[in-house]
Amino acid sequence: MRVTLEELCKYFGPVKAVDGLSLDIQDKEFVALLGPSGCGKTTTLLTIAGFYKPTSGAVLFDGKRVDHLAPRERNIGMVFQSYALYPHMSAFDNIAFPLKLKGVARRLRERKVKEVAALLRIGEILSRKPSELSGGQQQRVALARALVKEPGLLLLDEPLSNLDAKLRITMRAELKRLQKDLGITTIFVTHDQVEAMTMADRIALLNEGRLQQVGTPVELYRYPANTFVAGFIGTPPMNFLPGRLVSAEDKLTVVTEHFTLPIPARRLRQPFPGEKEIEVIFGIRPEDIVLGQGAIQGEVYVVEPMGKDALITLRLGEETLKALVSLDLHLHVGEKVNLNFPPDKVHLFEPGTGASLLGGRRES
Amino acid sequence: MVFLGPSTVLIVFFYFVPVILTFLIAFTGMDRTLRWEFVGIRNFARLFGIGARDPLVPKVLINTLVYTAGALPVTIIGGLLISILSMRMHPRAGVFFRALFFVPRALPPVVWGFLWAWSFEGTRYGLFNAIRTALGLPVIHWLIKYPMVIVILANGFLGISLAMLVFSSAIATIPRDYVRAAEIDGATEWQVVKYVIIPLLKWPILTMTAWHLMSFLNSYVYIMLITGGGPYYATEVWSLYAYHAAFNRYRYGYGASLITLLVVVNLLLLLGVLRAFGVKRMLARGKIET
Amino acid sequence: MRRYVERTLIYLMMALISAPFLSMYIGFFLRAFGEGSLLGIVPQRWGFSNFQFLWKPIAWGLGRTTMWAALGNTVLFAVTSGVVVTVICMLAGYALSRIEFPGRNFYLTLQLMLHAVPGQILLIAIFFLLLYVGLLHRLPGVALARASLEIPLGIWIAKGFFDGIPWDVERSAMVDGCTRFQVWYMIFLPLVRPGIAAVFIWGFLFAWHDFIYVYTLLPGTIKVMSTLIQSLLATEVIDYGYLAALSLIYALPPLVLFVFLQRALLKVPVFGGKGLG
Repeated sequence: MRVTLEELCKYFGPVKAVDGLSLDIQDKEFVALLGPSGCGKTTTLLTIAGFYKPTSGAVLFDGKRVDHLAPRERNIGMVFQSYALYPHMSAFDNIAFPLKLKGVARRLRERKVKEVAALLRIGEILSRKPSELSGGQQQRVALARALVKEPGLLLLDEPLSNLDAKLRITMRAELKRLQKDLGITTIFVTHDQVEAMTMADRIALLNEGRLQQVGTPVELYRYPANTFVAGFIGTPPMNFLPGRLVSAEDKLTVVTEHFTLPIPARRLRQPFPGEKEIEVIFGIRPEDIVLGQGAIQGEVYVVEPMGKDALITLRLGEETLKALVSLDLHLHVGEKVNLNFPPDKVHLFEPGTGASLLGGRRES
Repeated sequence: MVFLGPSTVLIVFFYFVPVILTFLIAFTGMDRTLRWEFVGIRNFARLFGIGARDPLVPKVLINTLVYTAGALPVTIIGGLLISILSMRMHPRAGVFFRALFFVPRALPPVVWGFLWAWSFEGTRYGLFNAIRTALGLPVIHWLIKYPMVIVILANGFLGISLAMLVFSSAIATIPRDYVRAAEIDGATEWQVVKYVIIPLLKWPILTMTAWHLMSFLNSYVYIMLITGGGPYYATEVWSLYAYHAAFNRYRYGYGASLITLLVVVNLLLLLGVLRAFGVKRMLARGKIET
Repeated sequence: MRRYVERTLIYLMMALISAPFLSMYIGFFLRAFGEGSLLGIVPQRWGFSNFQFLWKPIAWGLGRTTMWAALGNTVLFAVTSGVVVTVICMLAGYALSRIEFPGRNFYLTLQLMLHAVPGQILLIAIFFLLLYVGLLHRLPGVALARASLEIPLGIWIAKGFFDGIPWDVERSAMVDGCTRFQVWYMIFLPLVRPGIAAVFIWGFLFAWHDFIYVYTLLPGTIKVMSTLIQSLLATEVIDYGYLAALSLIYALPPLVLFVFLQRALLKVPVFGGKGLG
């Protein structure tokens, strides 16, 4: 099923939970709605499910408006953060419940429940009540209940956040595989960028009710559209420094208090005519900083070993930068190091709007 | 709507229709013949002492005011006292005393009334007179000498049972550290109560005052059971007088006019209370919009 | 030192306030189980002769009945009221807890207002109302009228229980294909069993307690426990021991039920808090 959001707005009184969200989700696609808490991602999901009526704009399934349809008429399956299993029913009855409401005959109901239970490997626990199940089992039951009626669209609201860290990694892979096998269009809400990056075909990143960027995980990582995306995606987050972009003799240079760096002109989103200079925010990811070479001088302030890598806090005068480098470098606190920012890896943003000045989908 | 239909029907039928019916009957001379005979404002004229006046109305009015003005402080001050005392005790002792003072509300009115009527019997068969006799004291005709005091106490302690429960649970939500801090600062028990507990109980005290003001203004069943309004109308309050007018003397029209006034007073009070409190803050928004 | 004095003072004050009550309750028990000449406070013998109504008919004035007939009527009256209150409040409580509709706040406020005005002052009109619809002097009709008094707060109690169910459970059921009525019937009712019990007890208890409705609207020949005790009190010669025993039988079931109910009652925001303990 194809899902289209057209200029979707949802206001609660003065609060704009979702503000002008347009998004096109292809059939069989796995899309993550990502953002910090309160960004409107769950509201968007609940509006798609039909629990909230859009203040303006529309939700379309396969090109048809569904605003007038109740949740039960939308042919969707949904897994909630709390799983929302019915406590008074066994796992079997929970999974069979949607079929029972559809009036599916008992025999067929049993077969279908068995099938989906086998798919999720919960055949053994069907007679138990939810309170007797572990978190992981509850989640599988909830997933089975959502899948048993073969919905055209699967909605997942933070389905992994109640699992322990280890199980979450297992379920991540399993969910991804399952989605591809079944080919159900899936919308997945999460606040965890790692979950979104690892599982989704595309990520829609939201903040304060507005869509910040939509694209594949790699696009969001490599070409963040603005400072919010740049800061949200990637751990540890990107370093930001104030600076100026100077154009002289057809050459572009970033000038900050502590260094100057040439920028290839082809990376600019828009040509930068004539001779002038503007204020910019300079950005570099910790893992892109090269230590031990280059002309820029810094001082090692903190060393945090993390197994293979070490997170280094560097001081450039009053500014601090985080760098992720190999532990083999054997850096010590107080040591002076040379560092280098590869020009193809740096990011430049407009200070006012936060928008990226550098181009998007282009190999660098 | 399926969900609200039945409750709405019942509420309309047993609250709104009766109010309108009361209002209509108030303008009739309805008596035991049950004939609708409209007499205009004759009942109200009688009530307000225009023309043929009812000599009992001023007495009943004063009784109602005295009764309400007496039972209300008993309820609030008694409720505060018992809840504060019980919350400053060992927890088990506190629960015991709260249960003890809650009993009146859990007893059927007839039994509570019986308990008081028997305890304050004017002969040596009554509990307190039996005790007095055993101590060699003469019997006291409690219900004849102090009928209003007994009626106020019997109803006041009913009020206390609810008030002390509400106050106690409010006190239970006060963080222990407030009290500890005050004690470390050298406050006595009384100072803790005065400067820490009572200010934090402002809202429950206001709620309970409003609640019981209306409750006492309208109540008559317990008085009816204990004194029957007597002796010689000494404890006849407004609503009881209306009841007696209607069901003892079969002057339904006149009884209804008394009730009509009471309903008007209630509505005015309610509007005042709602203005002062508002209930909006208790209501959460729905989270599904279909 | 000062602390000990203060603590002792607290217990002393409480003992002083509760002494009359304790003596009333204790005296009540002594009267019920005591036999023989009871002019003093302490009875001469213990026994169950005051409970003779358990096997003998009860006479008052010219009337006669048995305790069992009155008890049966009381149960019938209270159960009718309990069932009516439960069905109506569970329906309304769900809607007011879960469904957003214009006038919802008004409806809830109205219930509080209706509860604040004691319905018993409308007895004259209710007398005529029941008379005109042919329900006067009939136990189910009077029970219905009595039940309506407990509906306003019963709705709030029911709402309190529904409020406790996570929204996701309801959303889940709606995605699974439930209509709102199916959500209520198939998912919520099984989940709020304690709430159903609380609301039922609420409706049951006050009907069990009721005196004035039964006394006014039912004929004297249909006795429930409350009117039976009242008519015995109204006779010339009052046997207090006998009445105490009868009252004990009548008052015991609600005392037990109240322990259960007070927890539920305190979920209503006007009362708020945690209860006796």
